Amino acid sequence: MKKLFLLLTVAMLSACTSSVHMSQVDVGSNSANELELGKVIEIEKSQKNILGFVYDTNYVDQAYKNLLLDCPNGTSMVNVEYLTNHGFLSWTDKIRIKAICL
Amino acid sequence: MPIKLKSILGLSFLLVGGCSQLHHVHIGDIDQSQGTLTPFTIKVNEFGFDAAKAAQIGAEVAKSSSTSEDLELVAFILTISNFGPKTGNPVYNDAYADEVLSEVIKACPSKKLTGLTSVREATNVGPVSGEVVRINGYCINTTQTN
Repeated sequence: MKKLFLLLTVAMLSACTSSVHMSQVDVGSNSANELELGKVIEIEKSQKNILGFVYDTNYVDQAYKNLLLDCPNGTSMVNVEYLTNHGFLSWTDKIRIKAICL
Repeated sequence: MPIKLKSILGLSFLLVGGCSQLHHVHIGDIDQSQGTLTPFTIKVNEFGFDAAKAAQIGAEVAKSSSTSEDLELVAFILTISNFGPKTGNPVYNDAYADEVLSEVIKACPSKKLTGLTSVREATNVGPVSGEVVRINGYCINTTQTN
């Protein structure tokens, strides 16, 4: 019974941990730094790592390309978040971009 | 007696070890030519907990060797189940910093911002921590001229 409880506790604690490495907000350098509150877009790209082996190493470039496509006139504010979702002998790196399109 | 001494030493390290840690900082452009500046701060945080480290500490201070071995096994299982790069202690909610952009927009009624500084930091007490994302900045107060 004690071992079962221990096993359940371990199973619960080992689920879904994450680590946010970086989250930064930047404003554009337009003349008066005035935010033009246009459409807010959200882009998320990720790469799966299994024991350190990865296949899609260009996920950040893809996110950047999507940002350029979604905001053809540029952005007035960008929030970039870089995080990792942990797993069993594997993890997922994610980049999340939120931006206000001009 | 040695176990008691170990426990006291472990607790002392936990208490003395409580400190702030800077992980990342980014400073944006600062424009002081548009008007007076009013500072603002946005701070979001989340409870960080390193379960493997906690189990390892438990194994170190356990009285019986069988409990110690069990806890070491638990620490090992937790380590391989939460694999990957870590900044600070792991958190159980990866979306805690999602609202910083909207909070920054709300902070400035004038909608004119400059000097945004993004800080990723933590306050650690052993295996427990507060994982923080802080944004400092300035609202530009433009003077109305007729």
